[in-house]
Amino acid sequence: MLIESLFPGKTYREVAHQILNILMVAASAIMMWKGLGILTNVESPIVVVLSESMEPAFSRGDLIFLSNFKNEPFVAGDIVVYKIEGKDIPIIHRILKIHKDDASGEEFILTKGDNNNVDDRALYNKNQLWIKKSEIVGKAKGYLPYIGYFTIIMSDYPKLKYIMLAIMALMMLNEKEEKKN
Amino acid sequence: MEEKKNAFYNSVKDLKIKKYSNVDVQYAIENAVGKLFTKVYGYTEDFKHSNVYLFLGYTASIIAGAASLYSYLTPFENCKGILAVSVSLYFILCGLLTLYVKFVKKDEIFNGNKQDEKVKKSIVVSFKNKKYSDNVEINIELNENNKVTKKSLMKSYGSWFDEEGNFVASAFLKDIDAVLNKKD
Repeated sequence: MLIESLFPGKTYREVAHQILNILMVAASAIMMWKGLGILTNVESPIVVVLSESMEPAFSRGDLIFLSNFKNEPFVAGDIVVYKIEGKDIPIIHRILKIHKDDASGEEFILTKGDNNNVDDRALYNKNQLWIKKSEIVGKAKGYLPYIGYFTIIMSDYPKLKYIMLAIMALMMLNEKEEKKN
Repeated sequence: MEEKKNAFYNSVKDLKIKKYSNVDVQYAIENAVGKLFTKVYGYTEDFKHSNVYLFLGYTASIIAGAASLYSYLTPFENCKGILAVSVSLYFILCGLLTLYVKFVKKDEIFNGNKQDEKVKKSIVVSFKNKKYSDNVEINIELNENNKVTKKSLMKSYGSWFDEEGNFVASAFLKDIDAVLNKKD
């Protein structure tokens, strides 16, 4: 059977334990990520800066930590990540202006990248002059420089992903060979 | 008795460790003890610790997998509640698992029982090894019709592995046999 060839000389119970160990490593990582999302109230609480539009505050490759707590108001000057309705790309820019409609409580927000000459209206949808609170993914609370460059390189050069997987597979096979010898 | 001994020797024929790796030694001895007590002494292994571990572990993994799938298909706002419950359940199960291994399983490496004529015997073998030491302590607790005897073997594991790291089954069997037959 397939299991006997992948795990030579091991009982089903031992195989079950080995598979479980791998599963629990993966499950723990995933659950910690999701848990972080629940705690910060942001689906993807760690993002990578992709453009230079927030220089000198943030450079390409910086890692940004986000949160979106319900009772924290958005204030002009906050750095936020937002996603325009219908567009997939999250944008990290600063809040320039906020107008609040006292009657409905709705907020109208205008953003701009620190390093850009103009505000973000060109990025919004056609005829959209303000973004809504619901389009904001979260507020930047902290950052780590350079760490995100790894993901940028991985997505710019997808072949590197395959090379990395190949290296990891070779290392695993090597360990098995050493054990046999 | 000879065929039982040979069955044991055969079953651990390929057992080998990386020298100086105490983790390898622990796995090897666990393996050998299991095969020894089942093949030579005729015990049936009681897999209770392994079963609890597998049950808790796979339940937790299934919860994690289901929660990930659910959160992938449902937009964040709607799945937050169930996701929070799943994440908490997952970590609670992992916590239970850790507690079980630490306080219930402890150092036990083999649990077995058998019916010898009218005597109901059960045996618990534990294994202790200090971090960088080659001395191991194998404790055997034998329960015969509710009469409990404890026997202990403290020795360097160097006596059971040859220079290349191969397990020497006969030497191990001899030591275990001696400690079991020792009259206090």
